[in-house]
Parts: sequence; C-alpha cells; structure tokens
Amino acid sequence: MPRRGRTASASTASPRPWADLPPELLREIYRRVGFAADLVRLPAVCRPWHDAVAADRPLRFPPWADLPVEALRNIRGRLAMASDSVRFHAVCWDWHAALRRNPPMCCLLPWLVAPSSAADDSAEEQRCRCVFSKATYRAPGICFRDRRVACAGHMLLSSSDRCCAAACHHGCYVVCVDLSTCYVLRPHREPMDKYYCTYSYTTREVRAALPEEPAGKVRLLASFAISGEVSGGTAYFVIEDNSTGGQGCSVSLAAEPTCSVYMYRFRDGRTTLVERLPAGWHDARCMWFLPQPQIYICSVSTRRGHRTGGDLCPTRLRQQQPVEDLCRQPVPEGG
Amino acid sequence: MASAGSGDEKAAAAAMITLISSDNEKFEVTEATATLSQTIRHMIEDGCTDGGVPLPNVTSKILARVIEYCKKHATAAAGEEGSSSSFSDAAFLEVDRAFLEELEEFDDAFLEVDRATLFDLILAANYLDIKGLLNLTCQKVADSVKGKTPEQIREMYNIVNDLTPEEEAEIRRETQWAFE
Repeated sequence: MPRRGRTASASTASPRPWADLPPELLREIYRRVGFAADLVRLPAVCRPWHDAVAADRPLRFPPWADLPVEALRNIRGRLAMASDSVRFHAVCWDWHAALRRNPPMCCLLPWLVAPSSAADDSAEEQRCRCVFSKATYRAPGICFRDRRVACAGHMLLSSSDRCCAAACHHGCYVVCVDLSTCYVLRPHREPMDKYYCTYSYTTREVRAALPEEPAGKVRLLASFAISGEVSGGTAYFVIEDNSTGGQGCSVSLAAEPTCSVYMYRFRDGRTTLVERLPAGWHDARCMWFLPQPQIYICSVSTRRGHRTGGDLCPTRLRQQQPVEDLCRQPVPEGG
Repeated sequence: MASAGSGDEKAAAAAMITLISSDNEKFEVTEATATLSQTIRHMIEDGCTDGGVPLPNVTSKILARVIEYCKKHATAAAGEEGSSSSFSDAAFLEVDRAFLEELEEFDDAFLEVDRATLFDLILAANYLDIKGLLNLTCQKVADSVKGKTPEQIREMYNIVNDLTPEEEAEIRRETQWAFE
C-alpha cells in the first residue's frame, strides 16, 4: 500500500530510488530501527527491501515486543512469583501497556504481612515479608492491622477477627476470616469456571492435614495461605516454634515466641520449613496478602448468608469436604 | 441444496477441511482436528469453508506444526468424550493416565523449537484461537522469564528497551520490591 503512493509521487524523478538502496545500507537502517512494529513493516514495503533485510532477520526477529495482548496476559498469568510478574511488564513499553490495565488475575505467591511490633501500630511500621526471597519490605499503606483490614490496591477485606489469611488456589481466592470460616472469592473479571465455586473447606480441616512434626502441635493461631502453583495445591503456615505439645491452650505472651513458615503440600502431605522468621515476627496470626490481588470490595458480614452486590459474592462455607478434595481438580457440584 | 439428499453429501464433505497456508500450501484435515481452532470452528458453523480455509497469517511450516498439535489433541479429546460417558472405573483411569502422560510427552517434544518458531506458534495459536496451544507456548515463555530481570529478558528475546527513563523510574517506584 505505501508503495503505490510512493511510486506515483516519485515517478517524476528517477523510478523507485528508495527501493534501489544498496542492501548494505538497508541492513544498516534496519539495525537502527528501534520499534518492533517497524521491524515488521520495513521489510513489507517492497521486494528489494524485504530481500535485503531477510538476510539480517536474526538480528531482531521475531519481534517479541509485538506479542499479542492475549498472549502477553497469558504468559503473565503463568508467573507465580509477584516479582516475576512485575519485572515482566517492565521489559518494554508494548508489554507494559498491554499488561498495565489488567493486573494479574491470580497465582501470585502470598506474602506475609506482619502485625506491627510497634506500640502505636503506626503505618510506617507495617512490614511485609516475602518468605520466598527472605526479604522484608516496608509497606506503608498496605496493611493496617489495627483496623483489621488488609488492603492492597483493589483489595479490601475486613473482618471482626484479625486472623485473616488471603490465598489463591486454582484461580480463586480463599479468604480465611476466622478459624472456622473461609470465604472463597472469585476473581472479578474472568467468567467463572463452574468448578471453582465448589471448593469448600475450612481452616480446621487444613490444620488437621498438617502432620504433627513441625512444631509438635499446631496452634489454632496458625495462619495459612494456599497457592495453586504446585499441582494439588500448597499451603503456607506460620506456626509458633515454641508451642509445646501439652500446653496447647496456654498462650504465653510474656515470653516472646518465634515463628516459622512451613509449606505443606496437599498431594503428598510433606511439610518443609520455608524459613524461620527473624526476630519481631513473633505473631502467628500475621496476615497474608497477595500483591495486587484481584479481590474486589467485599463486605464481609457476620450475618449468615449475606451477599454483597456486584460481581463478587463471598460464599460462606461450612465443613463439607475433606481437605483431600483440594487435590482433585474439578470437584463435582453438590458433592 | 435444499433437497433431502444433500444431507449425506454435506456430512461427507464436512468431514474433511482444507486449510490453505499463506504460501498457498493446502492441508487436508478432519473436522475434529480443525475445530480445535475456535476461529475455524466459527467458519465451519457459518458454512464458509467451501473451497478451503485461507489462513493468510500462517505459513506452511507453522501450519504443519499446528496441525500436528491439533491432530494429537483431537484424538485425545475424542477419547475422553467416548469413554467418560460409559464408565469411569479404575481400569479406565489407568488408561486415561497413560494417555495423559503420553500427551504430556508429546507436548514437551513439541516445544523443542527455536525461539523464532515459538514466536510464530504463539501468533498462530492466537490467531486460530487454539487455547491449548496458546497455553502451552505461553507456558514455555513464562518458564524462560522466571527469575530474570527485565534486562535479561530483553537480551533473551532481543527486545529494545523503549521505555523512557521516566517511565522506567515510574515502574520501579511503584514496585520497588520486585527489583531489589
């Protein structure tokens, strides 16, 4: 198409002067083209240009920066680590633009938000820790423990109990509000796969699945998060180290306990220590959150069967299914 | 066309679909294979596949690979449909597992391609709307960028950093933790 206009206007001078540029020069131009789209367009101008550049293609071909938006989102959705996801969209402008509008749907590994150890619970003291990279970050504005709210971006969860865990599992978010109640929230955007809504379990059952070994006895206060990354699911627990088997109910706050993060795999029941949390991270009730999760405003009500408006409906779940069901992917409805 | 006799003819004709690549090569495939592509499925539903389906965005080299994938996965889909309705006992599950493993092996082998081919496969999967293939190829890219910095990803995929320093700073400011 550009050819027609060009040849018509240039015909008064010599015919197709640009098309006859020496191949070496064309290749030189091609090497200096910065935008991926131009890399595709340039050889499409005319046959001589195409042929000249074809030899040089390996240089910047194929134009990965021009990947379709759907493919980019698909790839990003497969990056379980939040840091990978973020770095991925910092590669070039096209990728950034394609991904910016839609923050990741799910599959981000959870972070730990520590209850502040500062007396005044000031916002500056809110810290979050990525247990996978063993790094702690200050996260002003992310978590306000004293208001029992964990929020990050679009996420807003509140409950009467501060034991709150947010996790994702097979595309759904599991929000643990208190120890016997879980809410399964589905992402806002994507049409819901019918399987997902049927997952149901309670923290008590998840707790029961933990073997005795890591800390002798798992406190009721363990918080957990589940990731759908590993097939069958993985749960992360924060467990107090110095909980001794016999005195489960005596929570001594005087002696400062330490906590460890354990990973539990539903598939084979293996528990591994992820890390022993450093000093100051002594509260097993700390919250988990997912950076930029797609959890939309959800008013968690204590009233039974209360539903919020909009696309997001928290599903109140009872003890219905054993935890093993987490391993089987589609759970039939009404089971 | 309107006569009752055309029903059989139609069914016979519909069994095979001709796909025409951008370089004019023709591929005959069964409808079951072709309809793994939502794009082609819609064309078939609209009845506009007579005389072949031209695919101007897909070269014969890539189309051949795509068809290879679709053939394998079409038989998988057919197998699932055929058996799941009848029974689901342990023996069946065993067979099913073996087949899934085989399919996984096929997928792994299928992905043994250079980056340029991978790129073309992603474009083709996207254009033809083949979910499984798009997921498969995107997974490969995702695996390759895990744990990499933006610079490393650019180098790997030959991408020019066209973000202005301000834009880069902005991204980093928003998500500093990911770069530390």
